[in-house]
Parts: sequence; structure tokens; C-alpha cells
Amino acid sequence: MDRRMAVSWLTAAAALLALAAAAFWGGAALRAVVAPVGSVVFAAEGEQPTYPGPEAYAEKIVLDGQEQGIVVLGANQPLQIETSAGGFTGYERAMVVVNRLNNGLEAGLQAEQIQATAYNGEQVVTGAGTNLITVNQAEADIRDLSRSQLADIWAANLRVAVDAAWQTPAPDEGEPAEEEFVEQPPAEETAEAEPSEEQPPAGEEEAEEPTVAVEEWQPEEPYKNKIVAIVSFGEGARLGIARVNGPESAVDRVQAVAQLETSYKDYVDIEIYVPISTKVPGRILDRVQGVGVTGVGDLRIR
Amino acid sequence: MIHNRRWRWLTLVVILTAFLVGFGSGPSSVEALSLGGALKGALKIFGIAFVVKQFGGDINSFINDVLAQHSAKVAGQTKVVPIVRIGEGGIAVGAAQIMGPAVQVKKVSAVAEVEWKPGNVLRARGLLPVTNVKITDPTKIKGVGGVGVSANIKMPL
Repeated sequence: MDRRMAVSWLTAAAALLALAAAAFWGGAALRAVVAPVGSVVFAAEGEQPTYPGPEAYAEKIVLDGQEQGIVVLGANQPLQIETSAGGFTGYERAMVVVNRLNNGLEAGLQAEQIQATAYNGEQVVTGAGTNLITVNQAEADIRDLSRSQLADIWAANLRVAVDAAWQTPAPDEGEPAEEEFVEQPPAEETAEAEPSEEQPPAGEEEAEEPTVAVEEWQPEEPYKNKIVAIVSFGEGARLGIARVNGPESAVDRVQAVAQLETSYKDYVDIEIYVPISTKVPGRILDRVQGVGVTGVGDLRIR
Repeated sequence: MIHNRRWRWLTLVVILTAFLVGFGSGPSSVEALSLGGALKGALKIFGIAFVVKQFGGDINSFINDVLAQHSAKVAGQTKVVPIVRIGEGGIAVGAAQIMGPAVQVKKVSAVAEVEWKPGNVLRARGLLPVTNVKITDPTKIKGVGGVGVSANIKMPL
């Protein structure tokens, strides 16, 4: 075989390999999109009973500089995730579990649907066929257990917690339930000529959006806008300005917007805006409820 | 030689097999924890609007969890919608979490972004929750009262 022929063969093989790799990646990506593991597919539309219990949440603890997460559901703490995996800290993994658990509960997940099982060589805990958590080797090692033993324990803990959660009515205490807002009468027809939700008060507000037709909706109290500083959570540095909008009495209390930065799946950056009643965010954010951001601005440094 | 029939078949078979193997193996259960890859792939292939539809619920819960950790949870309904720039035919340029009374949040399908650069020193972005994703005529934008933006979600393309 002469040299030319060899080059030709090599080129063809490389092209084929590249095409195969692209096809493999395309297939994997399609599967991830078509059947994302994390999103809940707990079938049975419509008929499942409405989940009456509390929402799960994750608690963060830091030990030896390492973030760990505890999954809390009602009075139970079914999981403590101590190790990092897949680029996520224990706490972030706990948040992922919490998210799936809440979605599952909302879709009617029952205790008996939670199982420890092997999938693709991994030990996982599933709820109604959807992955809730994968047991990684490090997590099992620190407990001197095998992965399947730990998966069994976690599944059993989750069953107990979910079972108890279904028996527990959702707590009324704490932060106002989301439904409380739903109850607020929209009073759509009673257009009693209340002047303007969007009327700009004097001073620091912008006057813009002349073309916007605001839909008929009458809040209990007139809304107004205000411009405040955006301050970073943690350092307290000024990052720009925000226009906030909300009920007059609430907007009056807003002193700044705290900006929290986080990232989702290490890929999507998220800036969270929290209107607060202090000029600088403290360790606990004093959120002014009912107020949202309707504009942001920053100074260009040239 | 490369263009003969046998090669074409071989290429087809290899590609098809690779695709099926990729699809079959998919993200392993561990990747359930690293959906970043899937997210990235979906974003590149299908765009922001699709990703918001597929992952919006997860992102929304994630933001609410972060807020709960800081005792700053929103007392109202929240959801994630695409941000569309006015005048660009409904193309999503990012995503936002919106918050407000449930009756109003339900009506929102996108956040319209209006950019304003007075004097080239200040750059301001108006973020207006709207009922319609396709904003072709800026004079017909329908704002949804009582709803504000609670997070800006940057989707790298």
C-alpha cells in the first residue's frame, strides 16, 4: 500500500470516528433531553391525591470546611449527604434530592414506591421509577457499608419520612403560605377608578414605558416604583441600581436590593434579587415581601 | 474507494450504532446529579426557550431553595420564564424567575427586556413581565401588574 493510500485510509477512519463520536454525543444529549433523569415522570395524571404534607428542604452544615447537606422532611431527616460527587457538594446534592422529592410528592409519590435498586452499575434510590439519589462509593465508605447497603438504608429512611409526611398536614406557621397570595381577591370588575398601580411617585423614579397597557388587576393597595441600589450579598459592594415595584407600603420599606449569586449545575449563572429593608444586607436578609424588580441598571466604567 | 457503496453502508451503520449506544446509555444515574452536561447540550441544540420549558421547574425550585437557606423565600408564586428582547421576534435572550400573586404569575409567559443607554454611561434594562412571548409590536405589549423579577438567569450560548 503506498503512502497516499495509507493517508486516505487514515483520513477516512478519522472522519468515521469523528462522525461516530458526534452521533454518540447526539444520542446521549437527546436522551438527556427527552427523558431527563431528574425531572419527574410520576405518571398518573389527575388521579393522585393532593399531597397535604410539608415540603422537604436541605440544611447545610460545614464540617472541616466541607459542605454537607441534610435532607429534612417534616420531623424526619432521612439523608445526610457528606461527600461531593459529580461536581456537587454534599449540600448541593441534598438540594437536588429535595427538589426531586418535592416534585415527586407533589405528583403523588408514596412511600412504597421508594426502592433501592441497581441501575447502570450504580446503586440508586428511586421513587416511582425516577432517580432520587445515587449512592457513591465515598459516601458508603465513610460509613463502612457497601453501596447497596447504604442504598437500602436511605430507601428505608425515605420511606419512613415520606409515609410520615403524607400523614402530616402542611404547616401553617412560618412564612406565609403561597396560597395566601392566591386568595387575594383580584377584584377584576370593580374598577373603582383607583388611581394607577404604576403611578410614579415624585423624586427618584423613572418615567417610562408609555406604551405599556397594564392588564386589569386591582391590588389591595396601589403599587409604586422606586429606585434603590443593588448591593452584593456578602461583601456589601454596590453593583448597580434596581427599580423595584410593589405595594406602596412595602416599597417604602425597601432600602436596597441584595444580589445573591449562585450557579445551577455549574453552568447557568443566576443573580437573585432580594428587596431588603436595610441598606446593606446582613447575615439574615430582611426581605420585603411583595416587592419585585422591574428594571436594573449599571454604570459603565470606561 | 471512500465513496463506494460498502463505505457508505459502513458509515451509516457506525453512526447509527453510535447514536443508539449514546441514546441507550444516556446520562447515567450519577449524571442525574450533573445535568449540567445535558443542560449545556440542550441549550446549544434547542435554545433557551426549550431549556426554560424543560428545566424551568428545576431551576425555579433551586432558586427557591437557595432563598430558603437565607430565610428570604418569596411569599407568593414564582416561576421561570424566558426573557425576550423587544423587537427581536420573540427570541429568548435569557431567563428570569418572576414572583407575584398566583393569579398574576399564571398570566406571564415571558419577560420583555427593554434596553436604555442614556449618555453611554448608564445602561438600564427594563424588565417587564408580559403575557405574550412573541413581541412584534412594542406598542402592544401587555404588562402584567403585580409581578416582578426575582432572579436573572444567564444562559451562556
